[in-house]
Amino acid sequence: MTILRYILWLILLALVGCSSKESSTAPDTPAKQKVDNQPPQSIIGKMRETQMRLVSQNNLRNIGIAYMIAAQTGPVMGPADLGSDVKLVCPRDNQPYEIIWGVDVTRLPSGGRHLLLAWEKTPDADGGRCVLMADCTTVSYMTAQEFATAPRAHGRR
Amino acid sequence: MSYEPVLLKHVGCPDSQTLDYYCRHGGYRGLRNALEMSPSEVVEMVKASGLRGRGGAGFPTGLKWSFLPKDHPGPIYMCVNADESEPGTFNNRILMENDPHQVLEGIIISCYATRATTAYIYIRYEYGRCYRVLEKAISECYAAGYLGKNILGKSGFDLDVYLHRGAGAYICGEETGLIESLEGKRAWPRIKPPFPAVEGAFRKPTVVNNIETLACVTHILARGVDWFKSLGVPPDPKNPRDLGSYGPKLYCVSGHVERPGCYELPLGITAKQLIEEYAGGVWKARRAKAVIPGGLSMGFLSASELDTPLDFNGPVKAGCLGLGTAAVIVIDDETSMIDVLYNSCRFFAHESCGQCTPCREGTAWSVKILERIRRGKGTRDDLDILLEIANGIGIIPGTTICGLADGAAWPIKTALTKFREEFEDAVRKGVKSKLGQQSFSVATRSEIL
Repeated sequence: MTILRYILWLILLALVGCSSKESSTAPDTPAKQKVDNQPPQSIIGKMRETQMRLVSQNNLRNIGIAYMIAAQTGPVMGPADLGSDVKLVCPRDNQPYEIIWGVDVTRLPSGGRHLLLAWEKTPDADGGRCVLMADCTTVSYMTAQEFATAPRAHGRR
Repeated sequence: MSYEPVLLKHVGCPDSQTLDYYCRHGGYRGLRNALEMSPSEVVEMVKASGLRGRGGAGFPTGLKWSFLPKDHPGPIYMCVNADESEPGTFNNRILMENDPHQVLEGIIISCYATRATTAYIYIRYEYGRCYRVLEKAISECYAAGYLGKNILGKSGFDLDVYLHRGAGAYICGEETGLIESLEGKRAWPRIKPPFPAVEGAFRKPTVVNNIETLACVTHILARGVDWFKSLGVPPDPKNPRDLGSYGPKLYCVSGHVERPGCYELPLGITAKQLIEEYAGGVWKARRAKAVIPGGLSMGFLSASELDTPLDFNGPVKAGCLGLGTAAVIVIDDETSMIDVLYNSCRFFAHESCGQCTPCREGTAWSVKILERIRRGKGTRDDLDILLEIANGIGIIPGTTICGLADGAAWPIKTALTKFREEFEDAVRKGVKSKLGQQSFSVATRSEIL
């Protein structure tokens, strides 16, 4: 019974293989049109960039939560205090995030939402980058100018 | 201490489960107050109240809510942890069975604050009555416009609440284990990060709160921050990181006391006061040998530590893991601590999900060692091995994903340090347990239901 099933599968695969070969050579098949209708490379690049930005923003959010949780019990002085599973590398440039260590995020004036705590090391093609504010919850995208003028949290080493 | 109960105010009153009764006694006032504010103002109010989670970890609730991404297009989920599996804990059951609308009001307010559009109440499988009572209360809420679309006429505030029966395991009460189980998978806790606030149920931002925590939210919105902060213990000025222990707490007292039960009191009452003034003292005119301050996983207080305040800091200072669920279990002076510890270890070995080797192996071996000691065949080395196991498993030493192993380790650590003599004595004399090997039967599901 099992052998028979294998043989049937093989026949089916062979048929599928033959038909796909035929369609790829035919000039006006729907498959060919689909390839032609693919978005241009620039749009694909933009989509990829947006996806990377979302992943990076989530990484920064997780860094913020881990930082705040660690700060409940003591000063956060380095990556080890955040735990081993926090992703500290930006997926866009494979560079580690810049993080200000030793900030007492539990006692910042106005919750620290105007102070930078962590950010991507290198800017993207537009010159901006994702940042985490010192309230440990606000993650946003800053232009080069906004980033240059944003105040940093004061850490201690 | 004179204290007017708030959370348990309607417990025992006829018809306290109905919407009609709840509204006649000022119910849904907190929700109306909340809807006059913006969601972020509600979060700030809960933050300002200093409310800390009642499920065990004591993390600030408002802060937890603020971790949710502010610009997320949604959906955002609220998971209500009603799995209540910590041995000795039954306060959630009392709240759900007797005052379901108080809980539902808290859920609705919390969803408004967090912009969650769906709430799942993950209810312990064995809590059949709670399920039925909540099911009826939810239907009443839909009919009265407290749930569904545009709640109480607030445009754009939609909420659906679903009841989900648990999978019958202790690990289902762990935050991410609960989410896995809710998704239809085995309740294996997830590695964090990603934290549930970033990627939780169905890979969407999720907040997980305990039933009692949400009941407190109801009263914070109805009575205000000042009322909430007038109860409990302010932060220790010597400790800048202390957040204080504000608000009322439901203490579940069980074990060897005259009047076991659930008592609502402001946080900070001492174990001694609770046992003597409320629970009628230790039964049969005996003395307390040990007290578990907040559910089995928190470890033991010795008789000399009964003046420990039962707030978020007190048990920690006495060497316990924390306040936990504030389920106080009293053990009298005629009980063998070896039997108690054996029972504890058996429970955790049975409930370990098996995902992390140190927990799976550590809990199983601790049972085997204690079995040997109970047979009168233990050695002094066994005690050291037990301690070595306890020191090596859990999140704190960094060897496991979730806190179950810490919960398994703490009773061992505290029992072996605070009652060392009893263990050494038993090992030296080769004393066999009077209760025999099958003293602690595990009830089958059919027996429970």
